Amino acid sequence: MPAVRSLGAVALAIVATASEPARAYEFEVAAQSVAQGYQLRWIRFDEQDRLLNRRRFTQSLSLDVWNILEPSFDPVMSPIRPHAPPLAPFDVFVTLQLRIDHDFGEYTQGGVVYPIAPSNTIEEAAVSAVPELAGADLGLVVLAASAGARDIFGRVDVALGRQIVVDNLDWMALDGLRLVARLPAHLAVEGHAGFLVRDASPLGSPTHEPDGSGSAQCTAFSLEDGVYLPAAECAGRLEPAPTFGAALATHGLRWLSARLSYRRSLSTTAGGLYPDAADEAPSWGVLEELVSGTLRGNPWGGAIVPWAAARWNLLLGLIDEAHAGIRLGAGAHALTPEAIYSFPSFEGDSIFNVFSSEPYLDLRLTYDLWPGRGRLRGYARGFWRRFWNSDTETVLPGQSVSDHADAGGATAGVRLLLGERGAARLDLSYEDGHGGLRAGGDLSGRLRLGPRLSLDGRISLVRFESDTLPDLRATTFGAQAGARLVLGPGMALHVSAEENSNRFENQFRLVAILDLSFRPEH
Amino acid sequence: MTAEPWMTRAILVAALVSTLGVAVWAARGAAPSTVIFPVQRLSLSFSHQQHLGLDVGCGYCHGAARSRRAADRNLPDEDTCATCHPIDRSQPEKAVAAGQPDARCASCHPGWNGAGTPPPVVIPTPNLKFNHELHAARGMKCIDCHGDLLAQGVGLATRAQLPRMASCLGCHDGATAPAACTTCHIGDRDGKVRTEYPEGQLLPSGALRGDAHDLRFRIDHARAAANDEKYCQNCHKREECLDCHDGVVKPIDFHAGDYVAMHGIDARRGTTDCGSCHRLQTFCTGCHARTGVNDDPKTSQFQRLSQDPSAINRFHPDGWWTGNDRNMRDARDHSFEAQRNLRACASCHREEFCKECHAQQINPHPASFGASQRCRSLLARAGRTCLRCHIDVADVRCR
Repeated sequence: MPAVRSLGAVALAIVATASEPARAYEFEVAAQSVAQGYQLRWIRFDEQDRLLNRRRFTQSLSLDVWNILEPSFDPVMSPIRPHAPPLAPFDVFVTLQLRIDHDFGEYTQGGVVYPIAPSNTIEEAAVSAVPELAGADLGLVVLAASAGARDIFGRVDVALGRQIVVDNLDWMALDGLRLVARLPAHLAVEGHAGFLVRDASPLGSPTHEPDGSGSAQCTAFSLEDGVYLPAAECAGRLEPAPTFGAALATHGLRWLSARLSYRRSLSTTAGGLYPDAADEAPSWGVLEELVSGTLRGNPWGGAIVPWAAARWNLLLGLIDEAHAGIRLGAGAHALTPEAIYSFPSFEGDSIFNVFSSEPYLDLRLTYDLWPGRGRLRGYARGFWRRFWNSDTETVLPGQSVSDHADAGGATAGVRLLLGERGAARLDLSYEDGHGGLRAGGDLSGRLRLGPRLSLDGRISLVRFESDTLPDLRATTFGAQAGARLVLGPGMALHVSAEENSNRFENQFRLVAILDLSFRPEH
Repeated sequence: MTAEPWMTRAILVAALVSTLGVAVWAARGAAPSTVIFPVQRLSLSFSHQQHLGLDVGCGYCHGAARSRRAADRNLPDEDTCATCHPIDRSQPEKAVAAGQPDARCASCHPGWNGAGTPPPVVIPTPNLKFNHELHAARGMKCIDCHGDLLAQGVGLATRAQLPRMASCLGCHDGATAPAACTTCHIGDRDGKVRTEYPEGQLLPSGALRGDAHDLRFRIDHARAAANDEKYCQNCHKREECLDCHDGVVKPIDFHAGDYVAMHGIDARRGTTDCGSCHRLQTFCTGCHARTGVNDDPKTSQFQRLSQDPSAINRFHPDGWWTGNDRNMRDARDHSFEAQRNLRACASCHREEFCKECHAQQINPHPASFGASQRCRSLLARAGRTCLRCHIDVADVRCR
């Protein structure tokens, strides 16, 4: 079957690259072909480290169709705006986003040799030995595929299919139905039901797998031996995950936006993963159950913007994420103090949830500068982060350990637009404490040579030092040069080469992107 | 010296009031965007205050009340001026009686002596849709949008007299007048607001939703996007989210230079929320397994595959594994590190690795776990996970 899959992928790539931006009013086709060659350091113990080559080709294809209904006459607006297009009673749409990613390099196509006995080794294909690599081996994913209608009676949006749901403090992918109804009094209710998109979902992306889920290489309980043994595959990750949720939100208020949401994902218990001789294993388990809320105010036209958000993780019975801050703007200046609290949490099948762990607290202060909303923009940010740990009295005699570890640092940057011809940007940073030292700078620029051609470049110099490993210290220098050629309306070719050097390695990266839905980068 | 309580309160109130005052004042005084209203060249000498003081109405000079497009040039022509000013091009220095309207060319066109054409007045077309006629028909007065130029003593009207979005929103609230962005902003074919113009990129000022796109907005955008995605979709397509959050090319502004060599610092420190784009147990562990940086049984370069015990030191310091006696740990024992940021562990290690020890010999639960809400919640909702280590279901209980 690999040959069939390969042919399908090639055909898709040809169709996609041959497409051009659609000219019809009601639909748009976009395609992006990305070729990348780069290297990753391959840590070796018994020999010198090597570089693993990656040769990736990624083809994306998206289709958006909207205004599918025949536009109708709008008796209110048409006499006033005779030149305006007539409005449809509601917008019926279809959206589809596909991607195929393949790595021709040895990262995926190579092999690994490992011992199976003291004097015996075996060679296995890398993609077989490391199951997480499957996504980079001719991996076709459907990132989005939904159809629906917007503004039904001016109040209701509905979509059916694979879609992304942004849910206050995180996001998820859903195969199912989502409905939003905007009620009077600036209130909206939302509801969704379907299946959580997982790595194993049909044409699902590995990025959509809930984090911490029983790993790709897991064990299964052997009833015969009464012990856990390595499993060929992790059955728990293959189980469908029914998901539903609801939310209440404000809409149409400029001075306040708020949203309160609840969602739950569960799955049936895969046989063999757990000891279940007397049928005592629960038949299902919750993967995620979250209540979260956000509140964001804007009472003085952007001058004072307070916000707060928190998430109650019902799986753990605690608040696992909370943010709060306020942005104070005065003309060209803005000051933003904020606090972030985070307790590491994982999806319900993960044993990491029961480990002894502590939250961390992050305090940040950011200054932003944008004189006259003109060519110059700048920022400076300082942060302090505290991590906690417990059981400090349990160390060896004569030793001591603190009940916390701190990290802190500052970054600053400035960007200057050089008329219509280009831009230059400088970023400097210094961070130290828990995790290690990282200090350095980054200078980048873009120069437009004409209406179709622009060049860009970047150099960076960074010192980094691990706080736990004396050998993991180096100064790294990076240089990058690229060009962008606009081939026509909505078409551009980007090419970029990058070389990074430090005492461990020299890595080269080459990226070429053919973009057939070209939008300038921000 | 200790401040009196009333003094402390007074200082706090004064600081709050002055902060609010400065912020409100600054928000009101912000200049209009040069992308919406491109920079103008006004080679003119003119006083609106003087003309309005003479009871010359706006409509006498400006034909805006009949204008339907923002591109219309609603400036008076020479004939309009000549109804009061006795202009004679053949007499550029023409004198008039005292108190009469000036007739010299240079009185309105500074430096022009009447030869050729006067210095140009360049007012680029605003990147906006606007219908003066429609607004006038709704009863809007000129001063409603442009201000009272007489009271404000405005001489030459510049971009400063053009309306800010905040004043438009006074009526365009979705009830009195349409609130859709493309009511006024130019829309692209897909219905999104066009943001790219020759004059620059149109970015939110923050006046509408407090979402000013500062230099770090791409990194900090979550706090604005978290609860109002429909608002973001006025300019951004949904696909743009996945371009980064599930992307295939490293975004340079997040991961500049040799980021792969240094990313471990961010992972341990949690500087960025890696999880918003990368899944620990797929993206991270897969790459770490392939490159030898974890304990994958087939690819690891850890101690277990080597005869040299120093191999372990390549990834973790001495003292990382003290032993099975939980009360005799080295101060550098991995347990303290795990407590500080468990996500950092999960980015390299699959849970099966942790189970090797923690399922049998070393209790991984925090103190008093059995009596905690966490235990009860987990057991009620995900009790099967307990069976990953507790083979006897009778052991699975909370107090």
